[in-house]
Amino acid sequence: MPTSTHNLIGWIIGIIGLENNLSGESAPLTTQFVLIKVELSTGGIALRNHIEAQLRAYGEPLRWAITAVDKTTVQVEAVVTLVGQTQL
Amino acid sequence: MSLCHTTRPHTTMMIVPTGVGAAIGGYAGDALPVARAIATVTDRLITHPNVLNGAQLYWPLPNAYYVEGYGLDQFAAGRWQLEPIHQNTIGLVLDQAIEDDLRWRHLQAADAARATLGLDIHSYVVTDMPLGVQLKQAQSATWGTLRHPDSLLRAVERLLQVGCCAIAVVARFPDDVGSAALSDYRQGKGVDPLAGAEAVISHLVVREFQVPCAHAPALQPLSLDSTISPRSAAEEIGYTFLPCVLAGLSKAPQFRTDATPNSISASNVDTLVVPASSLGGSAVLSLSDTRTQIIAVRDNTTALAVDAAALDLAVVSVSSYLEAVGAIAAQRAGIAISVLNPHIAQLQPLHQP
Repeated sequence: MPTSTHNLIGWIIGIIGLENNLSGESAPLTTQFVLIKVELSTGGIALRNHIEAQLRAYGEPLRWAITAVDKTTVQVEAVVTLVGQTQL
Repeated sequence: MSLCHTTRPHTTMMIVPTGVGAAIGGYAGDALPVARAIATVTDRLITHPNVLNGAQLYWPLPNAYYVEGYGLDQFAAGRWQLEPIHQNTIGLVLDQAIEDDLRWRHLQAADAARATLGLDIHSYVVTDMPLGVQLKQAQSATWGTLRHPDSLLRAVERLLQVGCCAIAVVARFPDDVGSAALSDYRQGKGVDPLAGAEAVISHLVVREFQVPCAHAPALQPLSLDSTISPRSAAEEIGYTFLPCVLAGLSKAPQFRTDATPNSISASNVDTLVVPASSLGGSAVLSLSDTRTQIIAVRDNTTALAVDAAALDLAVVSVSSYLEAVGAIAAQRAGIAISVLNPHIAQLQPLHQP
C-alpha cells in the first residue's frame, strides 16, 4: 500500500531535547530523543515508511521503535540527528 | 506468485531488540546459546552484536554474520546488501573521557586480541573531545545521546583513511546509572540502562560511513556481589567488554548498496526470529510484507506489548526458542509446520471468489 494512503496525522506528544553541546565547528551534529504518536492505518513496509517520514520532521532518524500500540495510534520512541540549530 | 522454493542457502535472521528488557538476550550476551542452537539448523544466521556479545565471552560461529542494528535495518529494507569477508582490519576509537588506567585496560584487551586471536587491529584514536554519553530511560526502553557526536565521527574518519574497514568504539559511560536500575540488571531483571545509548553510538557510525561497527562501554569495575544472575555474569569477570566486539567485527560482513554474486540480500532471508512482544522495529516491518517467515517467540518477554495482533502482522507464533529451532529446521527441510500436530484437517477445495 503506498504511503500516500496513510492519511497521516502524526502528532507530537513530546519532544525532549537532551543537552546538545556544539563541537565548535560550523554546522555541528547533534542528537535528540523524540517521542511521537502516529495514526495506525496500515502495517508492514507502509507503516515503516510512514514512521520514518514523520520522524524526518524532527531530524534524520538514527534509531527508532514502536513502543506502544492502541487501536488507532502507535507510539514511536526515536533518536534523530540534526545538523546545526535544533528544531525545538 | 509461485510458492515453490529453490535450493539455496537457508538464511535466518535473529533479532533481540536492545534496551527493552528481553528476558532472554536483555543482559550480558545471554541470547548467545539461542544463536548457537539456531546456527545448527540454518545455513546462514544473520544477527546483531547484542545477541553475540558476552563481554569477554563469545563463541565464533562460522555461519553467523555479525551485523550492527542500523545495518540490519537497512539490509532488511533492501537498501543494503551484506558482503561476506575473510577478515576486517579493525580501527579502535577510545573516548577521551576514559581515565588512564581504564584506557590501558582496553588497549591491553586489543593487544591480547591481536596476539592471542590473530585479529588485525590497525591502530587506535582517542577522540578530540569527551563524547559525553547521556542515558535516557523512556516509557519502556532505554535510549541515549552524545554531547559531541562530531568528535566520534572525526576519530572514525581518521581510522578509515589509513585503511581500517571496521570500527570498534569504547565510550566512557556513567558509572552511576541509578542504583535500582543497575541492581536489577545485575540480578537479571529490568531493562539494560546502557543498551540504548550503546546502540545510538554504533548506529551513528554505521549510518555515516557504511562500515561494520560495534561498541563496548568503559566502566569502572563493580564491587563483588555474590548474588549476580548468571544472565549478567559475563560482565562481571573482567575489566573490559571489548574482546567480544573485536572478535565479532573481525569477520563482520561489509555493507554494499549494489548486489554482487556473493552478497546476501533481504530477499534471501527465509526466517526472522524475534520476541513476540517487540515486533515494532524497522527490520520486522520491512520483512513483514515479504516471503520471509516471521517466528514470534512468546516466552522471551520484554517491557513492550507490541505484538502481531496489535500491528496486524502474519507470524508463526511459538512458545519458546526450542520450538523456534524446530520450526526453522522444518522449513529448511521442506516440511509444513501445520502437519507437525496431532490433528490434520482434510484438504478443502479452493472456493472461487
